[in-house]
Amino acid sequence: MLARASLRHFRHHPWQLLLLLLGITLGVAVVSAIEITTDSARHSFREAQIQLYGRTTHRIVGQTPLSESLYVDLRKHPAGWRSAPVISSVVKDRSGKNLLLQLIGVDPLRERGFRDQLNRLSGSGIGFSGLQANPMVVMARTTAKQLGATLNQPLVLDTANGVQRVTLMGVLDDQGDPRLQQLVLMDIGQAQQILGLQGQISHIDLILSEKEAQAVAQWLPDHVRLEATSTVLSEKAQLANALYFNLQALGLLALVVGLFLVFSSVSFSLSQRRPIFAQLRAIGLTVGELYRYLIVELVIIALIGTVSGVVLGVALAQVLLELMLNTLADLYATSPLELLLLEPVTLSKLLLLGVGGCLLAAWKPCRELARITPVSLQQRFVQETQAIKQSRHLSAYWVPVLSGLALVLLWLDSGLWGAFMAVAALLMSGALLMPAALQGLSRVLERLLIVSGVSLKQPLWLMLVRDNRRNLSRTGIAAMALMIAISATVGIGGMVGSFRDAVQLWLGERLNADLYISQTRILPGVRQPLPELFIAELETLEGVEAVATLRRTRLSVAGRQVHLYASELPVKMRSAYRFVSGNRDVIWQQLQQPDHVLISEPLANRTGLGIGDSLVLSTVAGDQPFIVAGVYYDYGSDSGRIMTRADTFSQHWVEQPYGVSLFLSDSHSPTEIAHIIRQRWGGQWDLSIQHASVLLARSVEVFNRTFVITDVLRLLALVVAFVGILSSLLAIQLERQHEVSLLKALGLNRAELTFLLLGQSLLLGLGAGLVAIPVGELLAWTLTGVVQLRAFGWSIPYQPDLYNWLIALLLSMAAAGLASLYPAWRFARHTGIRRWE
Amino acid sequence: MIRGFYPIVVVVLVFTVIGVAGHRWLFNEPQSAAEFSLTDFLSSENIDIDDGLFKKAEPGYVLRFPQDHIAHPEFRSEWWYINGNLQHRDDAQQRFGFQFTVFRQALRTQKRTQQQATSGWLAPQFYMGHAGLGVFTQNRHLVAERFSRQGPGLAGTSSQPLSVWLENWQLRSENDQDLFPAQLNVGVQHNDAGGSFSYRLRLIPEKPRVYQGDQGYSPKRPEPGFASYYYSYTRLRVEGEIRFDDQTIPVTGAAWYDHEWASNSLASYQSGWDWFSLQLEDGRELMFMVLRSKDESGQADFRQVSLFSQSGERLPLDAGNIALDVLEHWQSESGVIWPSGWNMKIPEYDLDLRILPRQKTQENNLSVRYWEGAVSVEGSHAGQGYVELTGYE
Repeated sequence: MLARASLRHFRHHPWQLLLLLLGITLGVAVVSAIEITTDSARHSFREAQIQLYGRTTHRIVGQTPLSESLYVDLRKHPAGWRSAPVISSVVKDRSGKNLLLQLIGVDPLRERGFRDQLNRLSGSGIGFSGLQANPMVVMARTTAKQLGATLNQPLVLDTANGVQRVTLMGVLDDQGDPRLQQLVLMDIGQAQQILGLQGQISHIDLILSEKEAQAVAQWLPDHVRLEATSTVLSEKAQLANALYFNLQALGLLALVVGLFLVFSSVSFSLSQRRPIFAQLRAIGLTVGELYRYLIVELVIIALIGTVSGVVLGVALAQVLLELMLNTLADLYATSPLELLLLEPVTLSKLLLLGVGGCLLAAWKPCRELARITPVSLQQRFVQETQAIKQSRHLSAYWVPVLSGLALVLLWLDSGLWGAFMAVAALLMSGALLMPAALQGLSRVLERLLIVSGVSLKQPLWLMLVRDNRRNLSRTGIAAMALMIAISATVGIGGMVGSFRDAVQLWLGERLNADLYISQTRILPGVRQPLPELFIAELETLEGVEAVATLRRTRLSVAGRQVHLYASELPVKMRSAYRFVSGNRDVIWQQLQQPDHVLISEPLANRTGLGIGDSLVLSTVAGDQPFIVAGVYYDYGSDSGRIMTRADTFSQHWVEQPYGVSLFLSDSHSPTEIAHIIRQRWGGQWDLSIQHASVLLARSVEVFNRTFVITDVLRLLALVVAFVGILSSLLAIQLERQHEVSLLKALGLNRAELTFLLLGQSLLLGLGAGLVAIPVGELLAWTLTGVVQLRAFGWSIPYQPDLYNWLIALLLSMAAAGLASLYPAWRFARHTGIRRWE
Repeated sequence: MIRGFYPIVVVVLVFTVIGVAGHRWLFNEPQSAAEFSLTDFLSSENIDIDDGLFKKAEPGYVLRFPQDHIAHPEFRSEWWYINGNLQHRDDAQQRFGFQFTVFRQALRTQKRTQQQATSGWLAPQFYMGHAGLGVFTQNRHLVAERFSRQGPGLAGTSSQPLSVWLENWQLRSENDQDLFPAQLNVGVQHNDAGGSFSYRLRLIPEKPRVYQGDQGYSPKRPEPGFASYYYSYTRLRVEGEIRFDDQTIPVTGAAWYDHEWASNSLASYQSGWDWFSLQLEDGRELMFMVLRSKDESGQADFRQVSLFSQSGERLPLDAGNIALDVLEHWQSESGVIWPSGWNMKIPEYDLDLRILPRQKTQENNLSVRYWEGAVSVEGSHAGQGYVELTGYE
């Protein structure tokens, strides 16, 4: 009987069911999309790593490629450790697909137990002798298809050693196994040959027990080191952790908004059905029965909503994943595999989240409804007085508690989670303030109307304001949701804006030379050295005041990969660096001493190092201590960067300059000098000569691309909030039929009626917008000043943007206004006077 | 004796060209049929199959030392081989046997290798090593196999010092003038097939180097033009230690060394060979080899023999005057029926020898299956030695 009653109810009010479902679906969809995307991205990166490592437990690496004689010595060692030599290099296919591939040169005789890809080799006629004799490659069927490559056909690759031609001689039957994709396997000798790495190998893979690892580490010469695969893998995994974390926080925010919608929809649909429930209770239905029934009904609705949410989420994730992987590839110069992953664990997590969230949101209204006596159920005023009382209670107790919690979390060194909890607490206390704020607003307006005397001339205005207060029990929660969505938008918008400003300012400062010259880069992460002679000749060029070369090497510091850069750092270049603390002149003077370095702010924050501290770096000759001369602002890498002088660098590392910055005298234009350089050397080398302005624009573009995903998600959260709020307001308005009938009976005309309905909505929107602005600004400040610092290690000066305020007000009022347009139009059209139900 | 090395050539080439299946996989994880096999590895048109591309053994060539101790890449195949009967230094009852072989196989002639190849990894030389240890008190036969390309020094030979190695398996002379005295170090770890064992032995020559065939030119068929270069050290004193099951045992004994290289393979009518290297207690040594012809071919077996005196002189002996009878047969777990025990009569020298395996289970079940085992010699003269049997199914 209960079910039948519900069915009839929903048949008469289909939009209520629809809107309830919409709230759940959208909330779950955003969370699912983000969850699946981050999961997939993480998985893609891990798989990309695993395919290179195989069952390797340890790896011998050096600051430079290893000499192959080290491998020979290792193989000739009596202990007979399990080892395999590897040459690894990024190459790009030139067929126009521009796919980045990982070229792996191995000794097929040593691969067993390491990487078993070769086992899947299909097609006969390529044995060891064939692989060894010719520049033949083997790749996964899927990859070959992607490239449009066919067997026995040449394949042209861009390599660090120029353009090389290889032949595709075999495909690996990958059966969709992503671990084999984007790999190009070839014999190590052939790889040496085409990459111009005679006598060198990239690293040595080993399978060792702990005891053996110790023995190997002892046996190794000083300039190379033994790394455990697990450490390297977790290092790589950490790379993008901060990014995933931020996205997940965004996802949870969307879920909170979604659950608010569910809460408001459920509350509303229940309050609608109060008369029916009252009758049922009156004829003997027990509290328990009603309660149980409501839960079952809710679970069914939640399930439907959640499942459709997940489906929608998967579709969204497809789009997001591509964006995300692009972002990651831009940031970290790796080529992950694109692989959408929906694991049973994720799926059940999402289902649990959707259904559980709904139950949590609806639990309270259901319980209250079931508890109230049949008589009071029928009386509306009970609800109103209750709601107002409740909201006062809630505000009085919870707002100070939550705000206090937020403050404590921000004050303490509570890490990233602490910061996010503070953000959540902030939002919650803001939301709890909403009903009180709306009451306050109404009261202030009421007083204004009365004092100004408008209320006498326009009684409708007063009615509008007072009616708004009276309806709070129904509209309060929608207003809270609206406020949360809007303030989240303001907050994230503020953070992204501040970050953009900071990065642009930083880039503008950093790129202070007139011209930047390097060899044209074909492969990400691969930088060709510039010939020494060329650099020497540049110095003698007329109009060139100073030349600064740039070298870099990759190091592992505190468990993460960082780049060490080196330059002559001529005086003109120094203005490019701003320091977190200390006197600039002293810092530059300190850096003149041997073995002094500058470290970037994220590195300083991550390691706790400051001026005068010692930092151990692995040089070509083994580990060496360096002294920190200063900490500079840098947004280039959240792992951190190190900067030192060119002569210090050449004492410890071997990399040659890959770039040159030219500082010109005022009498020469960069265009003119660039022309001269291109004329004189352009024929010899494929030079890329960039004006600072062009480079700046390009760098900003790369940075902007990394924000695409944040922007998309923000938009998504906003859409969810917008649709949700729209729908719940719409539902509330549509249910005011009886009230409208009464008003009509009292003689209100169409225009007056429209004014009343629209005005009330706009007032609600205004209230939400007004509260959202301070809450959003607080949020933005927290995200910028605390979350960014804790997640990435860089500090960003927060800059409030008035534009965001305007957007907030417009958005909230637009949402509220739109929601009442249709009901207003509909009610105004109806002429019939309905009976008070 | 073309032993040891010929099975590889035969197996590789026969399987390669004809594509006969059913061979052993290169890797000792045969559960995955898709794994690379030895033949997969050495297969395809990238191997020079034509004997004519390689240099051939010619009569009249005078072997030169020390340079002929090291590799001859212009010939297709080559191997360095040592066997030895050992005993516990303090307990003559505890007997052991060892075998060590390094095979070299040229995949292509040096000339046909990529012109601009500057990478050491591209040298077209493939090495295979076999190491065996017999523990006769426990009826155990430990054996291991490994492969490597020559690469930038992973396997090969050198003249200063004279040495032959395959990764950490190494025979290394103590001086540059002659190969012996030398150190032999073999360690078998978890990465090799078989159990873990090792030996560190010092090999000291007790007799001079001797030449097989005609001054080292050793024919392998009755037709002219099919031969190898082949020389031996027939008696090397052994001192050192062997290790297995985490126990180290000091040993002494006597070893035999062969080095042989050639470019041609067995005739299609030949099925395999029985090879004997015997060290008699009176100070003489005997090498006897029968290259068996298939029954259906109607061809006679091809025989080679050499008998060396106490001072290392080659004693005149015609291979046709030797009578060899199989006393017994033994079927291994792999199903192959091997001859196991012989009676050898050489009336010219009053030799009537019973040659008995120290234990029957000395089958080397590797990528090539053959029987390589220590034997004792009884009868008219006492002694010991090693026997190698190939081509049995």
